[in-house]
Amino acid sequence: MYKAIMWLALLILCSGSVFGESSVFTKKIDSIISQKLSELKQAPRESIDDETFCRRIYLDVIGRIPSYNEVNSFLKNKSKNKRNALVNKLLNSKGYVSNFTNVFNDLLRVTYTPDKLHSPMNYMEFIKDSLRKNKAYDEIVRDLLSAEGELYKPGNGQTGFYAREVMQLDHMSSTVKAFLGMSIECAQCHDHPFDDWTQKEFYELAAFTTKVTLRVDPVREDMKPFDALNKKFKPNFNKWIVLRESLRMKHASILGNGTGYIRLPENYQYEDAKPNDVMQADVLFGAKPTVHYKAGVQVVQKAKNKNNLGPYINSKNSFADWITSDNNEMFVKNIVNRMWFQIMGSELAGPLTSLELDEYGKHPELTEIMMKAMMAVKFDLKAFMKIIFETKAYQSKAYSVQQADKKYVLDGPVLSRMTAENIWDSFLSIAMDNPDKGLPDGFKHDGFTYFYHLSQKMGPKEFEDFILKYKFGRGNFYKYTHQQAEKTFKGEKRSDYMRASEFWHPLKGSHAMKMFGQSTRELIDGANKEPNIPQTLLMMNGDFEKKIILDQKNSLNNHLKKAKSRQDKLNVIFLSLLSRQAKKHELARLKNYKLDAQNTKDLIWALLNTNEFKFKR
Amino acid sequence: MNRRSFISSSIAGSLTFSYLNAADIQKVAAKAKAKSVVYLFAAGGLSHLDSFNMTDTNKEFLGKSRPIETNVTGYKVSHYFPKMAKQMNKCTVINSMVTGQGAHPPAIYKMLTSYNPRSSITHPHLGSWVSKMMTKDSDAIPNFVNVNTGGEGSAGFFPGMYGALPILSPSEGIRYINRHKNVSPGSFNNRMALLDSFNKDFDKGYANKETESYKASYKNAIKFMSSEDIDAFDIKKENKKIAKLYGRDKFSQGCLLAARLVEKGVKFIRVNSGGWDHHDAIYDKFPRAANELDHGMAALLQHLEMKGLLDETLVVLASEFGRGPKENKTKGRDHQPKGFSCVLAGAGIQGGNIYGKITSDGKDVVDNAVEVDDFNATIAYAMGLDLKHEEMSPSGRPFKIANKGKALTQLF
Repeated sequence: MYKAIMWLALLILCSGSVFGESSVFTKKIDSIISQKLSELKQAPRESIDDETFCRRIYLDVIGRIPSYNEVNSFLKNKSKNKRNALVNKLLNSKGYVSNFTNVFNDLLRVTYTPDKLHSPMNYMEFIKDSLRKNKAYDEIVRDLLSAEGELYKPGNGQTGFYAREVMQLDHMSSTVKAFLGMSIECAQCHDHPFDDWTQKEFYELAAFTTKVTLRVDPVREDMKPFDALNKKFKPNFNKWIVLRESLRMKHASILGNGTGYIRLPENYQYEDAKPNDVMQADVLFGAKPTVHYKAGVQVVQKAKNKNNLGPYINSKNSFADWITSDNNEMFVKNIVNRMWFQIMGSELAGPLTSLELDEYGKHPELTEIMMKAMMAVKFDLKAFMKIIFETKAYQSKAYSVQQADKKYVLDGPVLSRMTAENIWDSFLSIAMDNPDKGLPDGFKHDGFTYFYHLSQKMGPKEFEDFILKYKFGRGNFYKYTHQQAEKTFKGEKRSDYMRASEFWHPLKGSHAMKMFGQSTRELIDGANKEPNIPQTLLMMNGDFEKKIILDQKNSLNNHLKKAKSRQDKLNVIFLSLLSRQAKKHELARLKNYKLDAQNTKDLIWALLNTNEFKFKR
Repeated sequence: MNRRSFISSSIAGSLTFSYLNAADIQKVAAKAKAKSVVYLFAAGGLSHLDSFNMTDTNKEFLGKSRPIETNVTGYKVSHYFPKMAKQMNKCTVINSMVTGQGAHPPAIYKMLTSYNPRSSITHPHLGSWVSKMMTKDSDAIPNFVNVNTGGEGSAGFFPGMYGALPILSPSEGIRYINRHKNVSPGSFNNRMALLDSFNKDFDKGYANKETESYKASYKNAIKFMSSEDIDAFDIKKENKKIAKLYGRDKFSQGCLLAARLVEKGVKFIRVNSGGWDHHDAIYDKFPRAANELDHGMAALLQHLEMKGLLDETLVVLASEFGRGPKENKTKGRDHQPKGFSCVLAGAGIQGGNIYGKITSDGKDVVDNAVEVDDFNATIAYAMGLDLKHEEMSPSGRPFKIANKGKALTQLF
């Protein structure tokens, strides 16, 4: 309670003053951290050099290490303000969109979902578009929660949010976990043994999204004109299935906007209500948003059909009101906690998916100032990150848990392995001068959105002609629409060597990113950063030998060819792979190491396989 | 005590709980004969009415399948399985399998993990459980190998090391197990020495558990690359007489690989066979798939028997569900989650045994329904694993290898 009052007081303070300058928060954060360190009589961490900063900021903002040219030009830049300038440049680049698409893909579990979300690409387009426009985070979440309409309509990709998880209770658990950072899924089946949440409360919360439904096939009315064609094609599986799939591309939709009522399960076992009782929507904490009920609870309770849970009243938007409300402290705390983790690698307020109401982490004042900062920038994620990037804390040496003789008090970043996507994209940084060139500037069709677009003017006759003309089977139909979609794209064509954000998910076969632990996106934060045998064998003996070491046309080898002296060659190798020059002791150790063709390859291999390459420091 | 402190204190106390007393454990161990499991998985839904259940339903539901005699008197299989017909004396066929899942992804998930999919947790595959519960420090090869399918996600909430080693193509073996062809042994050693020196530098500023485990994984990879057991993954090295038992297709070759791994003591090998989802024109597609399955599985049973390994190897044929009795409009069969068939052989499983029965209209189970949990419990029981052994998920919830399943001990 005390915390809540403090929070309110802070909010009032914030709104009353002007925080146009992010540097105000930057300074405040550094002073709170240094105060903590002096209380503990700990010296501040050493600051990092330009090389380390350059690598770290590239990874944090655009998700890959800098290319040789990029790191070189940064190091040669004599401007005093070059770090902040680089932060701005990267935040406004296509690479930023690419990197944070990966982040949101994991949070929202954006993946192909059989029988439900047949293509995840339009959903990804929603994320990319939101990031390109730098849409405020609360607005992104509101768009997701209030999504409805056709799944594959260009510009309506947010519907993937409901299509991805159609089981109402599971969907609610994931939503609360993603946007409030709380684990309430135990209460789906029973009263939570340790937390406050009861099964009844869980159901009341879920009631907001009752009858928000995925409809994969056309509704009766839309199907009617196609009945004859459907009958005609039925004996021929290949034709029939293409008709079904193409109608789905056109019509798959999220229908219904919530009735605000739910029934308790048949086996409900607690005293506070009876099995099958109808419950009205209610929130877990805080003020209940306005819900525009048209029918009373008794009316719904008495309905003969148990599936009748009242008329649509757009209760999912009432739910969105509550989740994204300025007064919903958990909403703010969760995104702050996630962004901090994303950048610093540590838990500011607590575990990412099991925060508790009165929890503020091991440095509560720091958590609170970060939350204030988030409110002040009005959920502008770029502005929020800028505040962090400019702190002394961010620009200090990464902490390695077992190394330190001091306590870690959230005073800077911790060492962590790069994500699978970061590692993949960093390979591109070595092999290409500009790995971001192929990233699209705007909406890009996939087969589904392409056919959706095409089908808007198609009736049964045109569907029939289309299917007969191209002699499709299901597989060929998908292939054809994807190829046609690709033709509409003016930029660089898809290849095996494109940024991680541009791939279909799940990746096919045994792609390197899978081996590096890319999330299967079954779970929120499902990625792992552990070594395993196939991954290590890939690094030791795999395709990189060809792509990075042997390929004479890649940018690493191009720069090597231009390098004249031994010193120049070493510079190319070290800067390309580790974003730094060789250190004195390394030069001493390599003194007698001849840089002939084979030894050059061996050195590149060695640096590529080092922990220094894989870990973000 | 709040939730998190409860979890951390219970983890500190003990990670696992066991309710078996010493006598119980001995009893389990005495009956357990399986040292390895070869788990053949027909993904997509194998039609039981075109394979191993030719007797329970009306003849009209058998489509183009004709019942043929087997080496077990009175028991018939479909004519698409002539080779397995000669192996039925080694097998127990369960004709009363039931699953609560009617769509492929959740049904496969249930079969492989004993749990229904949830969005809050991923469960480890059976093979991962076996690997977690049985792996010893001295084991050079991973104890869970997936053949003809990837390994991602198979560890569930267990550490990645218990996930499956994927062999995507049996003839190719383990990917990247050999030095790249452009790299000489001298170069390779040079590389490793350089790597070691750079990693040591990095340690001075940053060593921690994660960097150490990366260094260890390179050591293990080298150990693995130079291990003699690696030969087991090279099916070309198999004795010609034995290799001839198998077909040339990927599934059969996968079975051969599995038998070779059993010889090396690998605990759990899953061999995948895909494309069983015959919604249309089933009799155009089924014969070829059935031929591969028939050939591979029969050869595997013979191979293990010849090597004297069948008594200590459990061979499983499973599918996520079966297919319905009636032909649909596109001349196929649709999903049938109730009353489908799975086969067990070896490791003390009774030969020539039929368990369970479905109704003559093919729509339900008459008696002895076998839930997926029970089926998986039977596999775990054969391995001598404690069905009550619990592992805690990261959020502190307890899970067991076969969920709530009870082993069908009467099949042994």
